[in-house]
Amino acid sequence: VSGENWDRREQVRRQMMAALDGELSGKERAELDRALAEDSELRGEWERLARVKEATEEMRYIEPPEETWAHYWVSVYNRLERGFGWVLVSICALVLIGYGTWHAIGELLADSAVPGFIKLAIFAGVFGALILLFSVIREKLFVRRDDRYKEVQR
Amino acid sequence: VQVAIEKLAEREREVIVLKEYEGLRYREIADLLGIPIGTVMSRLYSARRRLADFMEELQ
Repeated sequence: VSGENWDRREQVRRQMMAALDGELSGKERAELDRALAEDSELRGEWERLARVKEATEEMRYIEPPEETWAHYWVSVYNRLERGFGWVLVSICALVLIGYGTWHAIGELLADSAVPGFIKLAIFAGVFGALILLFSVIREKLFVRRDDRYKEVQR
Repeated sequence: VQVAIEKLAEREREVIVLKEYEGLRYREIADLLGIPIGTVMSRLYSARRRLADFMEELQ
């Protein structure tokens, strides 16, 4: 299946959802009808999905027992509490590692007993880390902006 | 149908529940879950396809 054909099918599938859920405009509906008339595979999918929609429309929500809600809220509080704990631990770890690294590098560079090639290696490491950081930031800023599928999370 | 819905992955189940039980519109589901509308439609599509498979298996 070519890329263009795949894109087209994805678009038709989204239109199918919008049609089933009553969120399709008249013009889009006409496009969908045309696509379904031209492609028997998509038409088969449409009929299958329409049967699912009919079945799910007849469902009614059953209120869960009180214990289920109590258990649910306890799990929410636990997750919030642990999430907050992890944030604090992560901040502490980052600060300590950063502080320790900064001091270690400073001391190594200031120490006249440390051989020159070790100091060069430190410079190379710091320079490499800066290049990596710059590369990641550039990718986030420029490459993602041109990503055709950035709106779709799979 | 209920059994089939329980077999869905959580992110598919939540869009089906919000659409079918809660009757929310795509925009509202997107805002609630913090995802683009296109993703709501893609997840609904994959959820309904899986439901069709499960329901056929159960029959």
